[in-house]
Amino acid sequence: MKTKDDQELIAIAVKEPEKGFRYLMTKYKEAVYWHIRRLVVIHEDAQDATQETFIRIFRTLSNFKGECSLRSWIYRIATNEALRLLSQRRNNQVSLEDVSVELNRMTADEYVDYSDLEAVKLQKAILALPAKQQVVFNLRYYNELGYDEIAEITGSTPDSMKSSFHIAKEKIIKYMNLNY
Amino acid sequence: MKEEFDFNRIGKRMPYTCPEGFLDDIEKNVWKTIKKRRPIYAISGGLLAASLTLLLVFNILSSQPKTDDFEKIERAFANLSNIDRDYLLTTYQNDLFINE
Repeated sequence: MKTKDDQELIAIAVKEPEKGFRYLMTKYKEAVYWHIRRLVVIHEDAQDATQETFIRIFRTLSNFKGECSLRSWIYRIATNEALRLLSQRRNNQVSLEDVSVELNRMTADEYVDYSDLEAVKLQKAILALPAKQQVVFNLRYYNELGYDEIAEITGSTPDSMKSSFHIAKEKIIKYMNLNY
Repeated sequence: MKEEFDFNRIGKRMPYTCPEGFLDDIEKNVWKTIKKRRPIYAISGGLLAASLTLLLVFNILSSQPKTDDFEKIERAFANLSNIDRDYLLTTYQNDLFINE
């Protein structure tokens, strides 16, 4: 299915919601999945959260009034689903301070390639950050979104996002150099 | 000499893999869920609309808020699932007739 730009998608969705949604899912499902996967780590959890994201998008697409870009709106829903899942996990943990539980998620998933040691270490460094800082870092580093757009997604300001990204980057560099 | 970490060296490489065809599975599951939930929305939406209409009518006609029918309305609403309640709240929260 040919991808369409967001303005076209919205125009189609207004007239034919199912058709518009089909185009939207084709365009965004991969990016949404990887955004969620980087946060929740486990493939099956990421798959479930991605499905929930698109179900939520379908149910509320008619409510989207263009207050932000369509992409920001989609990423915001996806981020909320991922953070909801992480929050549920924390509620099931014995100790809230046990950050290593998050890091150990990687060993629990069969869909991780441990032969790439540097890549594994980098993900551990990112997972050691507070959840919201992970979101900012990932959206900037992997998705190459601008700070304005990241601010729309997280409900914050561009300056705050820039600051958060640089702090995250410094922490990651420190972690990688200490553990080299 | 210990090598310092460099983002340029690693780029966007990640250790995560995924099964083949999983994106198609995601899309199939989403459509399956959406189509499955639609009849529930139609029935529950109609039920709530009818319930609220009856509620409005009883409030106008009767000084006694509780009747047998009112109890039925309460029971019907209590029997809705959380998902249906959420959907109905989303759909009807801006409804002019209900919220006037």
